[in-house]
Amino acid sequence: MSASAFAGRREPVRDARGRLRRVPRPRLRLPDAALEGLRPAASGIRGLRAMRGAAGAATPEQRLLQRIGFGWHEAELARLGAIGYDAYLEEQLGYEALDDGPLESVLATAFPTLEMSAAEIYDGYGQQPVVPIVHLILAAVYRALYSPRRLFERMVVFWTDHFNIDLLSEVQFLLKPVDDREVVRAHALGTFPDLLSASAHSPAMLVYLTNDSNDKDHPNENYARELMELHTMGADRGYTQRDVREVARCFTGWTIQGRLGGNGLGTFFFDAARHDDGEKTVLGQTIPAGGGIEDGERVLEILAGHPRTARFISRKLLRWFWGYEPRRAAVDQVANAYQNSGGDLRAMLRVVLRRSRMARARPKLKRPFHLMVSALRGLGAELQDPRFVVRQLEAAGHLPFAWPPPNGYPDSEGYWSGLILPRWNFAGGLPARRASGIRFPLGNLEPSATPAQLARRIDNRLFNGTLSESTRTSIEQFLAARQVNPRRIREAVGLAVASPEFQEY
Amino acid sequence: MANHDCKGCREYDRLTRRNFVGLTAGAAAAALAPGWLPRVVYADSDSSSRDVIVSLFLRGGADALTLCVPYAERNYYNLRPTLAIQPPDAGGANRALDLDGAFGFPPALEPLLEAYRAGDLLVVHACGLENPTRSHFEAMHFMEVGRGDPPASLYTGWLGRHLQATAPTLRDGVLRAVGIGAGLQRTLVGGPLTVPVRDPAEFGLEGRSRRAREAALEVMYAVAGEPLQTTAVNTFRTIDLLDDIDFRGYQPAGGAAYPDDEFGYALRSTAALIKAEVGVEAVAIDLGGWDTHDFQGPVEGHMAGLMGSLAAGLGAFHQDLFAGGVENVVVVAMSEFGRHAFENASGGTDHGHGGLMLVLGGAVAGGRVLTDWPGLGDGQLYEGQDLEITIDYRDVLTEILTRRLGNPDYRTVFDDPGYTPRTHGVTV
Repeated sequence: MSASAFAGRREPVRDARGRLRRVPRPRLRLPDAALEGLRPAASGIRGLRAMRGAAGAATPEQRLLQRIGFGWHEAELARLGAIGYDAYLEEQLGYEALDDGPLESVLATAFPTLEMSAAEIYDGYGQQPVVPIVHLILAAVYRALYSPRRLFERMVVFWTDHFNIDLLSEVQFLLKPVDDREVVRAHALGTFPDLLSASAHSPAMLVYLTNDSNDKDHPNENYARELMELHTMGADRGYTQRDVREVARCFTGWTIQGRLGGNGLGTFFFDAARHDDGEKTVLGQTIPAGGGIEDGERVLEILAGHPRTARFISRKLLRWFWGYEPRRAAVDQVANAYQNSGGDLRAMLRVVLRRSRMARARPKLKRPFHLMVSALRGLGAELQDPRFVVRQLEAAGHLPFAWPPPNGYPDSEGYWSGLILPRWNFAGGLPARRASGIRFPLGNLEPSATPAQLARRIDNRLFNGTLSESTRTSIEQFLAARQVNPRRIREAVGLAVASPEFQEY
Repeated sequence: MANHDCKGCREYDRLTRRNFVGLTAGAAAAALAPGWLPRVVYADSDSSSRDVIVSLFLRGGADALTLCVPYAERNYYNLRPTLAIQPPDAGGANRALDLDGAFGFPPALEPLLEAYRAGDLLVVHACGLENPTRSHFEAMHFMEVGRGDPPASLYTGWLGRHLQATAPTLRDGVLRAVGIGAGLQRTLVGGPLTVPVRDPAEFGLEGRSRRAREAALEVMYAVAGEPLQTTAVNTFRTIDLLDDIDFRGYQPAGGAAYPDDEFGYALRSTAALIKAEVGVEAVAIDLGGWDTHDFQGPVEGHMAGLMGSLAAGLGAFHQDLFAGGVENVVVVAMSEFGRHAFENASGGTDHGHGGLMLVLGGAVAGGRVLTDWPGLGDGQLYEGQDLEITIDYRDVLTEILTRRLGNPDYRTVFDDPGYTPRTHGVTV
């Protein structure tokens, strides 16, 4: 595709009236220079290494590991075997006790904008929006690869899609890093009402869905509609256009601070002067006149407490962790957990990830991000240079935080199955160490072994020995066709990553 | 994706691509066809003179009252105090380009005037999807599957079903439809020999040992479960096909210059694909960014830029194909809905109802604005806020399907008991 340069492109952040401007979204291709400049700073990352693991799953235990992380490794299987299914799940749910300190300290050094406020990013990188953008994208890759908090990171991606904000649009390079930290990561395994409230007060969300210009004289319905359709109740007509209008009225005046260079830039601000203080009726409930900011808070309570919200979130979680077509009874069980616990996500996940349920889980198609991370984890690879992976994510249409509309990257087989070539090309690029920036140990994949032995070992290493005979035979024949040397073995490993079996989890 | 240990499938292991393709094309096709694909009964049709269709989706809800300005309507100016395009006789840069004495293009669509004046471009106004939803995702889904209130089981696209129902124009063709983009547009889902392609010029395996890896992947995917098996087979065929077309060196005819943006590139690739005559019958292209809740900028801002891209691309496409003598092509552009008739406080417009379609082609009864104009006055607006729909968008598609795409039975595409198409004279 035509590449329009992102670097150097700089629109004023504010218009003449001092309001945050919409910057037309350039087609993203992260500039080489931005990724290049990262390597020295990121050098601490080199020491990190994912342990090797397998993709195949035969038991509920293996399925659990696959579903709660982007690929898994032997140590995790061993740990699970040692403490049992339920204890392992509790350990992952109690993620605070899992030490990700070493990873986070490396990330904080390499990607300082991760810890910054919008004002600090503006001061430091106001003229280089690509820097915070790249920081956030690469942090997502490294966290998925290396964090011991497997389930937590899977939930982060789930909520990143659910409360989608396009990092590449408008002024989000200032705001989304804060939203990622203080909304999504802060509440990913907390309670849904807290998460919803944090999102509703998030400057990034208010700007993304244009609530910053929702005014009592001319309500802007954008946030109100997506709040109901995408964030809480779902698009199944549990509400009317009138409800959307009323919710929009309740959120008039919910906006963001805008002083340039001041500490307040990009923080939440309720502008009482622009708030519609009349009486409203939302989903049949009267919100009395004069409520001010409480109108919006009340709407959030109504929505978070609505049975449709419980079912909508429950069904979506089941899709994410179990399979594309969850049964009605399963949705009911998880929705009950929501209602009984006040939307406690851990309580819901205990029901979603029940052992008996995982035993019946059907394979799902990995999304491209999942595929790439799981390949690196499966191979125990070291990501020495992230450029190749970023390019492949771009080619596959799955760069983190880069989905423009508010519904988030789809969690559907139909959407992702059509484009298979970028998957093959990612896998085909793996063996070229210098070009891919990916180094993985060959271990027992020794050139002295026979093609049949090598195919079997690749099967054991990447698929836990579950590979189909036809795929294993193809790999063996690929190896047998020429002199077996380390390069050929690496190519065979790439072939295994391109196989149909590795596309699933 | 269940067949990892397909014991009965061993015989496929030794298939090369050539005989694999031969097999699917021949008598054994039924054995390999995905189970969910309905058995196809081709309608009788004359395939020799069929148009190639380019389905263009303007994603985000394009503002029809800016794309084609009802400048004769006083209410328009009351509803749009800051966003209105001024009448053709106004002074300054903000004035409409007259189309028919009542409607006009905004200045940014100037590159479309040539096609309009040549009678090749038709504007259909106040049309759309007969469903009250103002949700992007619902409205896009409904429009693309082709039904206002579809049953959950209906997930194929209208164009995909058309391809199912008609025989290929090229008997031995391997590629009937292309969706330009990362994932396949819903419009094309269900279509046989249909593949999403991000960039036709770069569609192939990369890296070392390419041929050996390709051969191995063919064997692996020949026994894979669905939907990966079908995807893989189509991908291999498409790699070979596109490899033979010189997209990079493509020279447009008639001095046409495509704009240097993603949309222009997609249209340029589409033109090259059509002229290569490899049997491609349908192409889907998206142009996003129309969700103009604020800072709409119809004259020199955001929307003007988008319209400029749209017009420059389509203008070049028109010049390239029609000047080059390729006339059996039809482009149809639509959006999931229009926007509120009145502007909001943010210099934008919120999700509305009635919209607009553009139809471009050699056999299009163009050079006019086709509309049963509902008006923008009190009592004329849909739910008091939006342009009403007086033409079902499927009427436009049905005329194209039956008169230009060789499909004699619209019900193979729009099987909706509540729908009977009306003919408006979209084609000549």
